[in-house]
Amino acid sequence: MTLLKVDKLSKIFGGLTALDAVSLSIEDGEIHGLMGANGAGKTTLFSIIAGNQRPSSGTVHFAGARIDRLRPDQICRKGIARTFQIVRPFAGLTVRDNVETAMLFGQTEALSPRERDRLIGSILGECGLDGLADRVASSLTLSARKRLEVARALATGPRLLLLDEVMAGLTPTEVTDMIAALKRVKDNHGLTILIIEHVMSALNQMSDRITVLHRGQLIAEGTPEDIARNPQVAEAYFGVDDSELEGRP
Amino acid sequence: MATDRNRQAMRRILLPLLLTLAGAALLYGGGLRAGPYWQVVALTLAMWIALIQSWSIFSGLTGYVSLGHAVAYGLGAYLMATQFRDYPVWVLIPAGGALAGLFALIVAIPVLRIRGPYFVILTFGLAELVKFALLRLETALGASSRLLFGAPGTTTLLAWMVALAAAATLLRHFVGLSRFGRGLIAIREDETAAETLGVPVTRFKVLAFALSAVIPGMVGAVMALRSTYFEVLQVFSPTISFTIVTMAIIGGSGDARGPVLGALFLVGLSELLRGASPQLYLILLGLCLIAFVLFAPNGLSGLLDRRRK
Amino acid sequence: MLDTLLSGQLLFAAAVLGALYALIGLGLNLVYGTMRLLNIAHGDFLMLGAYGAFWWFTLTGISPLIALPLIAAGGAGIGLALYALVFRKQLATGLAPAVIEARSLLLFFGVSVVIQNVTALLFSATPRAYRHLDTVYQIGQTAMTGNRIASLLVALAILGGVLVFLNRTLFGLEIKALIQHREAARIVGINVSRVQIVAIALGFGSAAIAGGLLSMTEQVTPFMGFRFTIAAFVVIIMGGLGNILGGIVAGFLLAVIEIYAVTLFSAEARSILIYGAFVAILLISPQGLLGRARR
Repeated sequence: MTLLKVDKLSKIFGGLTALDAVSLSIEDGEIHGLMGANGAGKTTLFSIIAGNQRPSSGTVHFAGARIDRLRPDQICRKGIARTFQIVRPFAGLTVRDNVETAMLFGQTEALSPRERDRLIGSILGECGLDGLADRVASSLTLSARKRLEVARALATGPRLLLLDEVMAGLTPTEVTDMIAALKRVKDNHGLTILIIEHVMSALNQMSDRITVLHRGQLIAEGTPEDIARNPQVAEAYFGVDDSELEGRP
Repeated sequence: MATDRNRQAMRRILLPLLLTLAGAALLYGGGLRAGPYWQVVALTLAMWIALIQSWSIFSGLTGYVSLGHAVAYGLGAYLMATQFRDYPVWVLIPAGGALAGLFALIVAIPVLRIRGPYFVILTFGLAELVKFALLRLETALGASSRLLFGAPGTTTLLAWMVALAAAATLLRHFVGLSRFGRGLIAIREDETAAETLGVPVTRFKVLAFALSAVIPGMVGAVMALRSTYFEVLQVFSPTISFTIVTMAIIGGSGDARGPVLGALFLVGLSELLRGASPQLYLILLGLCLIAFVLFAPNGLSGLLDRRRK
Repeated sequence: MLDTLLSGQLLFAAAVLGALYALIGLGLNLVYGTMRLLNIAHGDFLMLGAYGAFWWFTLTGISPLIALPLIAAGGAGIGLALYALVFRKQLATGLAPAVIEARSLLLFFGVSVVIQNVTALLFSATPRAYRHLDTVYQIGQTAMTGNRIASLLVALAILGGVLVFLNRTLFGLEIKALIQHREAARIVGINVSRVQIVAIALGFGSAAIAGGLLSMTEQVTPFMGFRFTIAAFVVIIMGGLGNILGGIVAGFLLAVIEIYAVTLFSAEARSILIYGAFVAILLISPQGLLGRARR
């Protein structure tokens, strides 16, 4: 079953085309990778799906309903949660309050305080934030802030999770931990995940399918193996930045 | 776990309720006993507490600093001054609050699209615009100032004002604890993140803005009775808005204690400098504001917290 | 009616006021553009300049035009003292621009209250005025007083001088670079704090000069600055924050609107109009009508 259907989506900023008629289907239960060089339009695509930006043309359907005219808070309550590439924690609040706020507003039905406490505990555990519940978010390390970003998204009770470079800037060990955590989270919550990542090996390990954007256009889609063999991708993506080749399996 | 919850309920609900009621009783009872002079001081104190707490419901929680709350106060006073002869006071005071709330609701929708410092100067400009437009209206009506005959005495007004201060304090405290308040705090911390996590930011901001204007409207209505004299320039004075913001910063607007501390500070300072020139008082106030912004941005209330930790 | 509107008299009045608005807008723009400081005490520096000119003339009997460099230096000096005491540390903390803007607004509000009331305490709130260069010259149909002509010429000369400085000197280009791209400016090796010091001196100095010029034609009071703070904000928001040339155009535009509105309606319409324009511009386009310097 198709959970998210993006149809001929375009976004033009001034004279610049950030997205050019991109169409994409995400199946229920898959982990779908999204890759492309800086400026390829990945984050713009996320912002439109999550409602932070309006598309110039094209549509987005989620679970059969059209969502591209909705506000971000409405989309969130429909079951889509996103994280931000540059993390946006509620810096002055504790980790617990960050997660609880997301739970109070993202969940469609109100939970009793007791259920909330239990759910917060389990989400913090899944994201490796156990001991940090009472820490103020601004005092966390980057790695912990990235995990808080995921925990907060989870607390809204999503069906589809949009992860924007949650592994950028992490050490190799932290990346391994994050991959394990994400797989666990996906199984526990029955999630579908769309993930933007520059860490290629991570993307290849996790994804069922990968979509490649280049300068606003979709240039390839397929299994990680397909993508690795695709000459167009090699030229457009790897040709741009040699350092990315290092991450290829 | 259960006792934990009880203790928390005690700390968050019962204690603030009791403290507020005790404070109100002290202010009213003390004012009554101490004689006319102190009644006026108590009235002033209650007025500022009511105004700052109300302001803090919006500005303290969302972080959008409003420099326009004089308008809410002024509209309440204007309604009282113009309708005093025709309607009973007990109708006009709530009506003043409703008028102020309604006005805030109408302007909120365009105004709240503007964020950050532009919002601050916009609210200020809007307040001045309303002031001068109303001044023009009053001149056209040939009423440069209005007198109110037969207003209730100071003790009655003190009772009402203390009630308003207590109501504003409790409202601020309980809004802060509510889901609504949590959403407002999320807006203050990061509006985009809040929106993405499901907080209906526009609706919440507009509601909070309107809510925070209601009690100031009622305060303005009562104060029109107090001064028995109404003049647009005086009642819509930007000094009222600025004093609210200054006191909120000195007291701290992170909780319901801050505004009380701020109002005590203000009234204390003005009592201390009684007889000295009003300029000296304002100079000290300006210096205090600068010092607090630089060295204690969370105000007296923040300093208390830091000491405890 | 049409004759009145097209008369040289109104145009001359608009030009004199416009040059002053452009001058105070320029000062505010420099300070905001280079440091993101929202100086709502800007008009109070104009007021200080006006008092400087008043006392200079009253005590020495020499034309305040001679004292303008001194007045500018005084304004710049107080500005630099404030920078050193209050703002330098704030700017060096690496706080987000939004936080700096919000705090600077409150700090300058405190500064404004202190300046106004210290002035009132020292010189009383009584309005002051003096007569200087008030000979009327008749040029065609237009009557002009000497002090207005002088005010216009001096303001234009300073505007021109600052524009040349910003566009033709290396240092001026550094200021413009800092206004446009803060981070990039730091990377290409611009000495940010030195540029900030010059911007403060220019910004506050030009406000004081505007006050000195204004004192020749208007009454001086401790609370006169406020109106000009608002006008300066209208000007820089209309012209685009940080957009120097846009601000100068907007200064003249605002003056034309104001002079014509006062003539067509009444003097009372002035405040409604200025605040109305202010609110409308912020609502329609917080980035400014004439251009976007940022992003």
